[in-house]
Amino acid sequence: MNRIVDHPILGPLADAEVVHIIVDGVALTARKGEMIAAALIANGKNTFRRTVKRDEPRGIYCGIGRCTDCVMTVNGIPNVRTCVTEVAEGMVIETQLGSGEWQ
Amino acid sequence: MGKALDVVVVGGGIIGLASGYFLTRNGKRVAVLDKGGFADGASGACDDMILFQSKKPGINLELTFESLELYKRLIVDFDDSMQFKNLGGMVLIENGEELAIMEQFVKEQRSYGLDVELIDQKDARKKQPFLSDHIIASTYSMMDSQIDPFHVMRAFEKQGSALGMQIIRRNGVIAIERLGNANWKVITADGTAYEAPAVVNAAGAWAPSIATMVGAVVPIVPKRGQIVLSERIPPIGETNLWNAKYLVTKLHKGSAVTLSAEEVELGLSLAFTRSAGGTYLMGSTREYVGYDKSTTIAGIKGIINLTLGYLPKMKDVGIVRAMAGLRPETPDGKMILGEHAGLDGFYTAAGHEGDGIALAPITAKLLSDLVCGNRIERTLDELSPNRFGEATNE
Amino acid sequence: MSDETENRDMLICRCEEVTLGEILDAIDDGFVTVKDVKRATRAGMGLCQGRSCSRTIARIISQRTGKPLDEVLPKSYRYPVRPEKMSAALSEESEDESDS
Repeated sequence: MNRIVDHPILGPLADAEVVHIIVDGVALTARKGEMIAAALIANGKNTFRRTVKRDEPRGIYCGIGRCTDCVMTVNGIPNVRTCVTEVAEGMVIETQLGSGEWQ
Repeated sequence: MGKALDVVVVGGGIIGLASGYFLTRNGKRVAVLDKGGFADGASGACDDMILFQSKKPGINLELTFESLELYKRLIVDFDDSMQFKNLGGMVLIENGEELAIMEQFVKEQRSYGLDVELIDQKDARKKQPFLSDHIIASTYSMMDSQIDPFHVMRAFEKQGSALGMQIIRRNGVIAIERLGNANWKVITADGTAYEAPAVVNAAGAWAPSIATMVGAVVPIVPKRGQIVLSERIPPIGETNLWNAKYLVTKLHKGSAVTLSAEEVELGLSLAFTRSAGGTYLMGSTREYVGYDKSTTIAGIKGIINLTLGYLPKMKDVGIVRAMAGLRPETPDGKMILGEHAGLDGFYTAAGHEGDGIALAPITAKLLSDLVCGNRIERTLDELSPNRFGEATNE
Repeated sequence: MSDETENRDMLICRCEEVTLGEILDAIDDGFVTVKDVKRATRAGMGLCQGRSCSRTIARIISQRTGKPLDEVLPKSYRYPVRPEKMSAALSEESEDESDS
């Protein structure tokens, strides 16, 4: 897991409830209260979608919910901003290819 | 300014730019003037449709056929698809009353060459899996297509400029005078004057005020249409969608099909079309509010509720923008195209209501033929600016 | 100037994937406000509706044409302020809905 467990200023990482999410068909664990983007990066996934025109990989860019680079298809709904959307138990998250696909 | 001109085109929307291009291609020296920026009028606030299904027999339908052929040739000439797409269209039917009227309408349309059919609920759902359960039937036609207005206008501009066409923006026309040598002098806001033997009034919703400058009458009334844009999403079914409800009340004035109070007030009818960018343009309203281009909460909510009634799945889709355009409406629903009696060299090419994108090429070609004195196959009396009798400018 | 031509392939509008080169070409073709460039190139029409790129495009136009920023930026903005789900129109109670 790519997590900072002992931050030089913020101190040690507190315990948190485990949340189970499914990312591209693979079961992963996340921390309760964290954003989808954080959970994915912690699990080593940096590419969240591929662009429509140039098929280029995108992940976090602004991190504050404005730029829409980080969007993925979540529970069947496309264009979800993962940097400002909290994880939930059983959430189904998919890398969005272009505009995505309806389920 | 310095250059001698043959034609001044007032209005740089799709009609003005198309006309400027066709005139330039026919050897004329043309300046196109616009009071605003690129696509500031209805051309920049519309859906992209070249629509056959909503039309009754007559000149509008014939011109739509011819215009589509012209677009296909332009796509080849320009080596530019301009985002042309042929998704087809379905007019959704909700009850037996609508079905009866649409059955008749489809029969009529087929009798004059439109390739359109009626399909049942099952087949409708095959083409549009997300349709609400209450849709009982639909029309289906692959004749309806679309082309992106911004790409078209940019192409006309680029191709025209390469041949010498001038485009001047953000400089509106404030006066038009007749000179001793019978030329027209067109004066813009910054004082620049453009002199030419011919002036084309292609100012869309603003055509009446241009006509007033020369004492002519152009009875065009602005009719606002609001559109709500969705975020880019995967395609919703195969075709674009309209609803029969509104069409039916137009076809049969005494029909028992009732519109809700809100639908009447806003003139709401469904138009659900996929844009070049993969967003959905959802509309639309028909409001007489003068030249007010605001979008309103009532209009936006009305459009959203209308859309969700037919496509409940859209409730999870986000909207990113709303826009409004002013359709130039004429008293008889036909465009105004021709030279004004008693005003040699002053032409109007305006009043396309909701069909400006579809009819731009044929309008431009006919207008150019008129100005150049070329032989024209069809009679244009039905479209003449002199047909209105006692009308006045609004 | 030479920096710009080297970086023509740089993305300015990330949502619609519009490059610096396309924007410079549009400016040179006479599209000299943010609204004009948007309509001519789609830059600013994407998911973020210009939040990431419009200010940058305004500066590019201003630098290239010499026009001051306030002549280049849009004068007004349209609803919605930020994206909203269509279901939001259903949830509110209002006089309109009670009539129909």
